[in-house]
This record gives sequence, C-alpha cells and structure tokens, in this order.
Amino acid sequence: MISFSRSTQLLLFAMSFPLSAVGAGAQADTSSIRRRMESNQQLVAQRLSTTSDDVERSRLVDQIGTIRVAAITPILRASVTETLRRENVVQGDRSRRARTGQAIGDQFDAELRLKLVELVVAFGDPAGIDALAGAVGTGGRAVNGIADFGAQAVPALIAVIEADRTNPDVVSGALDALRYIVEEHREEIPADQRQRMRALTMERLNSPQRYVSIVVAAAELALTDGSPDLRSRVIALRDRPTQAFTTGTGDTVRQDWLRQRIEARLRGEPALPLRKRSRA
Amino acid sequence: MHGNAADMYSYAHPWTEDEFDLLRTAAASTGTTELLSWDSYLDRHLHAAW
Repeated sequence: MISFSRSTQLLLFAMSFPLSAVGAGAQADTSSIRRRMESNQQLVAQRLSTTSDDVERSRLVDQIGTIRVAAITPILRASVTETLRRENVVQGDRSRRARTGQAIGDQFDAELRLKLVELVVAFGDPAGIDALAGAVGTGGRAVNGIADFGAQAVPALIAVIEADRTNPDVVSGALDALRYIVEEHREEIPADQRQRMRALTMERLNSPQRYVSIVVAAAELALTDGSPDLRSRVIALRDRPTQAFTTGTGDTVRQDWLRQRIEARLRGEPALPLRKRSRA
Repeated sequence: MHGNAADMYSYAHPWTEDEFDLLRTAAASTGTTELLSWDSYLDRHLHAAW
C-alpha cells in the first residue's frame, strides 16, 4: 500500500509539469508527455475509485488539487466527482446513525469531502450538480458552487431535501442554495419546480422544527420568494416564534434569533448568508 | 483549506446538538466556505472556514 502511494505521488508529480517546460520545437516530445500525463491520470482515477484506504484517498485528492484544473482529464474529473458522491453517502449514513443514537466510528475523514467539493466546484461541470447537492451540508463553497449552475440545479436541491428531511445541515444548505437561485434566476425556474420549492418551504414554516438552522433558512427563502402565503406565514412566526419550534427546543435565544432575522429582512436588509459567486 | 479557519469547542459545557445547531447557524450567517456537522468529529467541535 505504501509503495503504491509513493508511486502514485511520483506519477502525479510527473503530470503536474507544465507543457511549457518542454523546449521549443520539441512538438513530438510534447505530445508524448501529454499522452503520458493522460495515462497517469487514468491510473490515478482508477486508484481513487477503487481504494478503500482513507489515507491514500486523501493523499490522492491532495495531489490532484495541485494540478491546474484545466489540465485535469475528463476521466480524472469523473472519478473525483464519483468519489464525492460516495463520500456524501458515507456522511449521510453517519449522520443517520448519530441521530438515532447509534455509535459513530472515529475512522472518518470529515475534511476529505471539503477537498472534493473544492475540486468539483472548480470543474464547473453540470455533471457534478447532484454531487454538490449532496454536499450542501459542508458550508458555503458547496452551496454557492451549486447555485452557480442556476435553475438547472433546482431539481437536485429539491431531491436532497425530500430525501433527507431531518438533517439540519443538508436541509438548510439546500434552502440557502435555492434562495440564491431565486435571487438570480427567478424567471428561469419552471412553474412546477417553483411550486414544489414553495411547498417544501411552507412545510418547514407550518410544522414546528427542532433546528433553528432550518427555520431561519426557510424564512429567508420565503421572504426572497415573496409569495403572499409564505410572506404572511413568516410574519406570523415573527409575532409568535414559539410556533416555529418543537417543544423543548425553541428557547428564547432561538426565538430571538428568528425574530431578529425576520425583522431585519422586513426592514430591507439582505438575506444571510450573503451570496458569493464561485466563478466569474 | 484556504483563508481562515476556526475549530470551536466548549470546554465549560458539553454542548447539545441543538446548541451546536444554533452556533452553526450563527457561523453560517457570516458567509463561511466550510462548515462541518455535529457528527463530523467525535469531540463535537465545529469546524468553520472563511
């Protein structure tokens, strides 16, 4: 295992050489180096897809991160994206175990997914939309990265909310991404998807929630969407924030947070978190 | 990881998942690039980066 990791690093080091390093007039050599780089990346892609060793996988991803994005082959991009999909499933299982009181192991590299998200966002390939949708619980890079795709990302975001209705990080991240898309591409979202999005938002506002993150993200999306039903429901929650939370979880700190966010929006302040475009 | 990162942990009080969610919501509102979860680490610390 160790010797393979070293040889993999050597391969990656070799393919990270810029083609401009080859001397002028050496066109044949340049083609040869390009073919070797592509072959090496194919080997790395296969290894990334097959290894069960978390440490090796993390090292491979670190090394891929040192390559210029434009020089990463489609095969290696696909392997990175598929690895993110798999890690989303691993994290989802871990979250479900944790929330049902089952033990969660310590053999888990939580930060591997962050590295994969960074790469998939940099690829800017719509083929990675579903993978990014599954990673919206990792913070703003994934949330902004998927929002960069605009209306075409809406079905994937709706799907993750419907698939995992209770994970606060996934649901609030997906609601934030939908809000960004509504802010920038309101007219491009098909009517049926807009209705589904509104229904999911209203569901969070009408039924008491355990997590303040979900309530706040739903309220921010509701006010951005601006439909009269959603807006009046948010105003009702401002006046009676106890209705937003399940018994025992809606203490005054959470209620105050929610009320202050709603009042800020109604004064014309922007929704939080603010949008940050990942690509120009 | 690029930029600034923080790993937040309470030594005074082992926070509950709901308290963690409140802290995470506050952190998210500042525009993080990375923000991990209640079950990311066994010691329940909150990793954030901007």
